Amino acid sequence: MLSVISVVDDDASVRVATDNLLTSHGYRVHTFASAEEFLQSSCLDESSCVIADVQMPAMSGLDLLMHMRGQGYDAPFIFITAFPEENVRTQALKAGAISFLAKPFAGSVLIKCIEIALSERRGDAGK
Amino acid sequence: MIESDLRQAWKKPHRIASYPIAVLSVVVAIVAVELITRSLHAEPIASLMLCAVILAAWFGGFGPAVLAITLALLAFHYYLVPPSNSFTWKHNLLVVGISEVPRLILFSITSLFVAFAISAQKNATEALRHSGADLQTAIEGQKRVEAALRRSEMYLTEAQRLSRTGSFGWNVLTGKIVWSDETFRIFQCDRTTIPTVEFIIQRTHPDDRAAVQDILQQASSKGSDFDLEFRLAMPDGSVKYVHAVARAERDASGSVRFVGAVTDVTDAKEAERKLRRSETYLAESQRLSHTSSWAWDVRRREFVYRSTGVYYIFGFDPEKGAVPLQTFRDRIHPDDRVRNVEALSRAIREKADFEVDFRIVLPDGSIKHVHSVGHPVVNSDGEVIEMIGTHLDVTEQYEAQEKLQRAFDEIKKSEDRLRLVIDTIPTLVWRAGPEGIPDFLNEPALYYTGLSLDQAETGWPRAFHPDDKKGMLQKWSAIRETGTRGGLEARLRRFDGEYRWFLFEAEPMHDEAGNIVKWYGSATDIEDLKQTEVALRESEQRFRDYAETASDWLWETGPDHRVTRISEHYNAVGIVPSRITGLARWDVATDVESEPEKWRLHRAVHDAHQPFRDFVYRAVSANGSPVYVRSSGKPFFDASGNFLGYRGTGTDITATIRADHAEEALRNAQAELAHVTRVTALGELTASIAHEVNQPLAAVIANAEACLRWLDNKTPDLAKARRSAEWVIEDGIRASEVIRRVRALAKKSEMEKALLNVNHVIQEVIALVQRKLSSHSVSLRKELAPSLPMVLGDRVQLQQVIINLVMNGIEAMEPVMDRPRELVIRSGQDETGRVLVSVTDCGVGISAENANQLFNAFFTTKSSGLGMGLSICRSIVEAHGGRLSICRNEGPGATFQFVLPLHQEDAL
Repeated sequence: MLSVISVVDDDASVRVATDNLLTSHGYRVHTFASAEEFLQSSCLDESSCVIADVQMPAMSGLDLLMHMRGQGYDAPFIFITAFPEENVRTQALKAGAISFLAKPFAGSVLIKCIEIALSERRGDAGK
Repeated sequence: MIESDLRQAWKKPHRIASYPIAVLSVVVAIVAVELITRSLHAEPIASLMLCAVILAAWFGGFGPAVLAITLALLAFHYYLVPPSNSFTWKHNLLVVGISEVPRLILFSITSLFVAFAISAQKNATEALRHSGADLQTAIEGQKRVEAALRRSEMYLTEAQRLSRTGSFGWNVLTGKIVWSDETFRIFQCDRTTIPTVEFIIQRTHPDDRAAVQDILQQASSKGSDFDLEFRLAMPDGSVKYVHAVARAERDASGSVRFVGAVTDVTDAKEAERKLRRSETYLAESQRLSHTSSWAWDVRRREFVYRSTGVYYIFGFDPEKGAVPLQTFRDRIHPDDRVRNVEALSRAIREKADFEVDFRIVLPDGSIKHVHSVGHPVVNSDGEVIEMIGTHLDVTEQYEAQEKLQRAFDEIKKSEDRLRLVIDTIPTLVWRAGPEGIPDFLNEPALYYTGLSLDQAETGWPRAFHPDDKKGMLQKWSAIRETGTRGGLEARLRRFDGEYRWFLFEAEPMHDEAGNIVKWYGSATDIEDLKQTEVALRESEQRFRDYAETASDWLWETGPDHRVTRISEHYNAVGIVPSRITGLARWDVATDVESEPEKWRLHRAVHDAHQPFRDFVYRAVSANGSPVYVRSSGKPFFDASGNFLGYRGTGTDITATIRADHAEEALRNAQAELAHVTRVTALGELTASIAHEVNQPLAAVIANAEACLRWLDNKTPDLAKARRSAEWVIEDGIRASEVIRRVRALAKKSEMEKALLNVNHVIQEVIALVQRKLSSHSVSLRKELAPSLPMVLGDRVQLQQVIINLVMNGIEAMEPVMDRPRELVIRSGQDETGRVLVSVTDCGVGISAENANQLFNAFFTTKSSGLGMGLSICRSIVEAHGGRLSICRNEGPGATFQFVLPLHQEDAL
């Protein structure tokens, strides 16, 4: 079964491009324009990995991560951001994100991160 | 002595009386013979004659007995010689019968014998009897004498006691001295004492001993009388004066005996001493009182007495003996001599007292004034025999009187002058008794009130304004009660009925006992002063009203800018005035540190003694909440221009500030936001630009990789690849769109152009970059041209340009460690009159090749940054019609400068 990857980004072109890239690698992708939209969707449980933008108008990517961890969802998180600030990066990693990628990033890097995330998740699930 | 006298008195009458006895006894014998012869015829002549002789001898003694014998013999002669018995002269006297002769002889012898024996017997008996009687008498006499003696002795003793005179006897040979009681008393020793010369010498006062001893020695050796006075030193320490007088007697043996008296003359001496002293006192007192006394004998026409004072008054020395009358008279002033004599003559003539003043001219030319008073002494015949009187030296009194007179004249003169002054000075002068009732008003006071002097008492109080009178009287009596100087103000009616304000002042005058005898006062017209004062007060009140209405409080500071006075309603703000007093404004304010530039300027204004207006600062109220104060002040100076401090007003604008705060904060926030977004665009914006650009770039890369992926599939999905490529193009377009927008951001014609003073813009920028400057240890130097023409521009955009240039400068100096980091901002005009602003740093500088690219977008020498800053700056400056340029410094660093064209209207 193909892993489901949820992409949360307020920027439409990034959302579309990321969906396109991941789909081309054979992943199932769900895109959401905001964290609230994602939380209200039915994809929370089936998401094997979450790729989220840090800066979003209402709920930020970090908030989303905290919220989901608080709700008991342990899907691995990959942050992508156009403002690669060090303190935000530290915060993100501390909160449990797999990686913190600055836009623009190479597609291969993202794929690698997803693979790591999914393998970890599989490892976790196997335990 | 008495005894012998008595005996003589006894003998004398006896002898004279005894002879008739002899005659009588012979006669009796003859008669008997005759009788016997005739009767008895016997002739017992002899026997009877013998009896007669015996009788005569018995009673008369031997003398009468001899007489009796003689008579008996005559009788015999009668009987015996013939013619016997006849009395005729018998010629033959001696013819006696022989027979008769022996009888006669026998008879004679017998009778002589008998007479002798009898008279002897008689004498013896008589003598015995007499001596018995004498003895008796003598005993009685002795008794009487003794009584008399005792009495006399008592008298003597008493007399001696009373006269204090003792008697003494001194036998020089035996050395025995006999003293009377009084003498013992005088010598103060009891009667058991045996007086001796040694004792006397011992009692004698030591000072007199030698003299006394000498006199006694001489007197005793010469046997001469002595009279001496000496002192006795008594055992009780007192001293007695005694006067001893003695008469020398020499007895048969030639030894000298003294009998004398000694008198205690202490009292007399004391009296004498007192007298002498009182005489001395009198003389002295006369001398001191310049008095002297005299007595003029009218008949002898001369002075019988002149006290020493008379001599002194006339300038003579009484010690040098008598002075002739004429010499005295010559000393009297020639003009007074006649008058003197006349006065004396008249007094004698009229038997009246006289009194005369005359002058004495002394040899040195000085003049003495003498007041002489005399009194006539009248004898029993009513005749004036003496004038007695005194001279009184009244020179001093006379001179004093002269001086007094002169002083009076002076006083009179000065009084006239004073009166002139008092009546001339333009002040009302008054005087009142201790009870406050006026008794004198000077001319101006009389003129002003229209009163005459005799109306002062009632008229003066009535001239006071009815409204002031009660208060005036109360104050006036209060002043009099305190007894010290005081004053009051009241209105006084002028003669024409107009009332004017006066200041009344009163000063008490005291007598020697400290009682107030008079009140002296003045009344000064203060009407004009009063009106000025009222006007002044009104004016002050008016200004106070304005000030208080326009502000919350009024304040005043001293030369040190510390508060000296502050109006009470400062409390309204919640700041306690007592806490403010003594502090400067910057001591009270709480924003001094946060706004140093504002306060520096404010203090500079103070130091220059310039006025200031609407200076706003923050302070803290009593409850700790911040208050905002708006203060305006103006310096004030004294007459000579010395700065004294500031006066001004303060207003609590906390409420206003709070009311406006939201709006202002909002506006500020908006402005700030706009400002920040725009101003910090050059720093901050790079981030947002990056974000804007990175988003499409990320999309481009992702889509491109996806495109390749779709193409690389075993069965290439061309549709998806195409789709991806299309997205790549869209995202690329989008990215360039971002860049275009950024550039347009600067170019956008959102400019809010206004007339600006570039210097102000620079000041605002400096305030914004202050923190950045200090955190990078950069000192800022301003060289701003004082009067620049205005430019038309967008304040915020120009600020952006300057900030960017400043930030670039700061960053360019960041590596500089070996020299001070100084940034210079200049303003001025270039040769064409355009306004020029330059920012010079002393940083790393710009290389020649870099200089050409500087203003291209995205060129940067920094590791971080997009190189948009200078590009945007140039866009802005060019949008203002100006030009941004760079020029290299002579020293290290770079200078960026831009010029702006003048405002069109200014240009014209």
